[in-house]
Amino acid sequence: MPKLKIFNRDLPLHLVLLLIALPTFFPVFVMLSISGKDFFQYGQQPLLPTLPFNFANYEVAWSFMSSTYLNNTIIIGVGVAAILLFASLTAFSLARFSFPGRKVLFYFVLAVLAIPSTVILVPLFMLIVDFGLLNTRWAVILPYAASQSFAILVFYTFFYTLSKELFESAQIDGAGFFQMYIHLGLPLARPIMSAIGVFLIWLLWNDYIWPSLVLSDPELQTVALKLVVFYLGRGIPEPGQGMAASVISSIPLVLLFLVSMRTFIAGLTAGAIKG
Amino acid sequence: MSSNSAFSGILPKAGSRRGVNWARLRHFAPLYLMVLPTVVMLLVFFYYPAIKGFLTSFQYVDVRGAQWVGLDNYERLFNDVRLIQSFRNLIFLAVFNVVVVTTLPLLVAALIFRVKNMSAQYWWRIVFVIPIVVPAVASILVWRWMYSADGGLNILLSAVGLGDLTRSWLGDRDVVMWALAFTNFPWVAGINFLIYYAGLQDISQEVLDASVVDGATSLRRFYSIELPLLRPQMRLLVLLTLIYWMRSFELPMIMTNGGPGFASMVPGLRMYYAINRDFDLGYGSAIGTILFLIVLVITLLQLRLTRTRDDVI
Repeated sequence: MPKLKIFNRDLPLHLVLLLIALPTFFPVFVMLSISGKDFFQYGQQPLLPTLPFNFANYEVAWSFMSSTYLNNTIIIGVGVAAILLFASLTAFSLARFSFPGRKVLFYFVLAVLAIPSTVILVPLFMLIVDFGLLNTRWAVILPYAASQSFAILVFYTFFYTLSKELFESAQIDGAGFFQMYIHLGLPLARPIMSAIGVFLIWLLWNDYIWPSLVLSDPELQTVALKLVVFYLGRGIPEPGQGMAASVISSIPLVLLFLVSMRTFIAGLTAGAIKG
Repeated sequence: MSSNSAFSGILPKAGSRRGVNWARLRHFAPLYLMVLPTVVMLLVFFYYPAIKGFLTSFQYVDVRGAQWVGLDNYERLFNDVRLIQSFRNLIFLAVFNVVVVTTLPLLVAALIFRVKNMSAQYWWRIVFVIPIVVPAVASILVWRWMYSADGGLNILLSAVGLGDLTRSWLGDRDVVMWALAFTNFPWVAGINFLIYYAGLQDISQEVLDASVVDGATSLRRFYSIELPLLRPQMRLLVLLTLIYWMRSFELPMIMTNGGPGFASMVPGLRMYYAINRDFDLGYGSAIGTILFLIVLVITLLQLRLTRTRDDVI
């Protein structure tokens, strides 16, 4: 019984890991448990799950949160697409060709990593006001699309390690720089692109502070923003309704995780360069 | 790696005269077009605001326009007792989280790495990644409930007979910072342990095998081999953690709004209110500039401590 023996040897490890995993999942448990309680169930037993599971909480929460899914799709969709396109173009140019000004451009891109977004909160807000973009989706999309430095860094490292021969033969065939990007760079970069893409979706889905500053129009608010507005706004929700809204805010990320588990983890590890 | 080995661009011979070589520039024109969108966006949304913020920090701004006031904003800043308190809070949170990030995620990564069964190892990794599908603000809101007067923590304390300890955790100025710090306990889920785990995977199997042959215990192996080899990951995470706490303030903002009083205020949140509530843009910019300088110093220290990746540029 070799299998059992191996399992036995690992048993203490499993137990310790389980002991750490339990508190890790406690908030998720709390969220799911309370989201199924009506007012009286919560009053009697605020923590442990109760029956019947009260789906009416989800109806209330959804009526409040439903518009945010579309907003997030548009904002994050356009933002991430723009980042992937422009970052890969820039990284490809910088990593594969030696042209005058290349080094300067490289540092120009990298230096942005030293400017944390919230540090320029005030002037960026003034800029959005000056452009007349306050309370439009562009107020969020444009700064997101401009946050390319991290993606450029990851793309750069990837393109830099590609073999030279590949590009030489393309050059003999007379391909221009842009053709090489389309026919060589882009297809090769597909895996790294999806990893970065998934990471960015996750990162932007989590963003709260910037949207809260520029999107006061309830119709335009993002998932994270509206969730906080729901909790802390005027009509304080029942605990069950609030937790149901939290669950609703997580569902798209759960789906993303399920369909792309490996890519998700790869993206997170790559993303860790900047976090 | 020699610095030009990867390049395959057709390089027209540099002109014999010094100065601008137009033929060369024209040849590379498509490349300049390819980087142009990025350059424009970085200029408009990062460089311009950064400079503008720095200049605004020397101004008084209201609806009628801006007025130069010299160092007034900075003077106010250094005399603002509440702001000094908020910097103290920031340092507390940053230091606390540096301690956290160098211990628990590392421990879990090392434990998972010791599981012999590879598929069990894979699933443990998944288990500790899953909780990040809950958006940060959603988990902050759950923790807000945990700390509330009739919330989870008090329920648990009463259940185990420690009812005397129950309190409104976020309303008590003596414990509110600890409550903020303990949010997301045990701080393992997410990216941090993945980075350590990736680092452990990079350690050559031969080194680990040799240590087993030499009869090293698991603990000994951790201290003598894994810990020293994980130093780059640790340094990276310390840097990222410090920068993260310098720039983010969702946690106090959603949990306590900086309260009670100013007991849990942080500079970033103060800056946010300078825009959103007080319309005190000059003062907000001064806080932003100070935070930027702190981040810059941390980053430069980090660069001095580690070799940069000079080999790829």
